[in-house]
Order: sequence, then C-alpha cells, then structure tokens
Amino acid sequence: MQERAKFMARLAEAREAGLVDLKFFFKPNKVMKKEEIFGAMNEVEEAVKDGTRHKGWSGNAPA
Amino acid sequence: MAALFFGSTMLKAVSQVSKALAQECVPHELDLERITSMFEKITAVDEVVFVRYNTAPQNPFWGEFTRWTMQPAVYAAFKTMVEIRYASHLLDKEDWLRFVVCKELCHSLEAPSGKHDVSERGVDDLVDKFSLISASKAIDDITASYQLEILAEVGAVELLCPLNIRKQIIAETGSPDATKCKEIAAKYNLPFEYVLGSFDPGHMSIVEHLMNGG
Repeated sequence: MQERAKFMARLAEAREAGLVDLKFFFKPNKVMKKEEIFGAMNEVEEAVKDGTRHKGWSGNAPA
Repeated sequence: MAALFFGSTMLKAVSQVSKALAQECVPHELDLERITSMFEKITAVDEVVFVRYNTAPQNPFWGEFTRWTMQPAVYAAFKTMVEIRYASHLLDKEDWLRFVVCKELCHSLEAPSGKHDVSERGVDDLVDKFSLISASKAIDDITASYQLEILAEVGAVELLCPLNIRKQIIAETGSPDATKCKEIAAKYNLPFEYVLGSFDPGHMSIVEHLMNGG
C-alpha cells in the first residue's frame, strides 16, 4: 500500500493548506487495481508541481 | 440524498449558464474562453486558475477539480479558490479538452460538499469505484462523490450541446443513429461517446427533470 500511503500523506498536507473539495476525470484504458490507481494519482500530483499555470483561454487555447 | 440535491442544484445552475451563453452565441460556436468567463461571472468562487500537467494519455486521470479555502491574512476574509487541472495531451484532442474543462467547471457550481470528499474514507470509496469502472463492472452502490462526477459529465454535455438543441435535432431529423451522432460530435466539438448517450430518451427525460429543479 505504498502508493495509497503516499497519496494520503499528500492529501493530509493539502487539507492543512485549505483543500476542501477534490474531483477527478477518470478515463481508464485497462483494468486497474487500487494501488495502481493511487500510483496514477501520485504521478499527476508530481506533474502538477511542474505544471503550467494560466488564468484563462483564448478561444479553446490556453491563455 | 444530499448528493442528488446538490446534483439537481448543479444541473439547474448549468441550465442558467447555458441560457446565458445562448444570448452570446449559438452553442456550436462556444469556446472555452466564453464558457469560462460566464462561469467566473456567476459562481461564488473568488479565483479560478488552470494548470496543465504533463502525463501520458495512459494515465487515466485526464482532469482534476480542486477547491481551496484560505485566509490570506489573519484579519482578512476567507477566499475560495478553484484550481482546474488538465493533462497536456488534451491539447491534441480539442473535443476532449473542452469536455474535461467544462466537466471540471461544473463542479464549481456545486454547493460545497463538506470535507467528506477529501477524507481518507471518501477517497478510498472513490478509488474503489474507479477500479470497478476500469473493469467495466456495474456499480450498484453509488457514493455521493461519484454521483457528482457523473452529474458534472452530464453538465458538460448540457453546456456544449444543450437539451433544447438535441430536441430540435430529433424534431427535424428523428433520433440520430451512430453516423449522425458522429456529425453532431464534430459540429459541437465534443467526444462522440458522450453525444451518443445524450440522445437516449430516458436520459433526456431525467436531465430535463433535474434541470427544471428535480
């Protein structure tokens, strides 16, 4: 349960920082067990840290 | 019961956004710029930020909605901030980008659902559902948070190809088959698989009921 534990630790930190709601768009292309799903969630959390932030859109393109 | 109430509230609010957007342009000309501006006008959120993150399409999480409440300074009022996150590969599939961003925007129309969704148990429940979905197993125990995921997907379709437009299409040309649905998906720039289900008579009847207040 390493991936779950890692995600739950992140979640606790985020709650401390003010997180009150969390939703996902989930589009699987294979059967996934819980630990694998938590692994994918952790990968997203890591990617968000290095992500590109923007305030809005120009048409359908990030602006 | 609470999720259905919030869901009904969400779809009623989506209906209002959709009507306001219809004053600006026809639905097939809507873009994320117009849709996001309308959401910012009508929601109680203080700030909306978008984050594009780099993961492979095989990672099943293509988008996330997060809501934060914070107090910028000791005597300052609390602020609500929404961060919508989306996978960068969606830039190569505009129909999915529009759908995912609209779905996540719909969550900002919900009444705050308390801290259940960010509790360990809430997340465990949701991941159980995701695991069942990945195996295409029927889910007969729909939790509040998963119900809201489904309702937000319904809301995204209602923004991009509203019910009144679908009714008009049926009145003019009858119930669309898969080929016609592909044309509609291309015209309204949203994923085919969501168009197909949105013309189901039972689905349309329930959506109409919920958008009128449930």
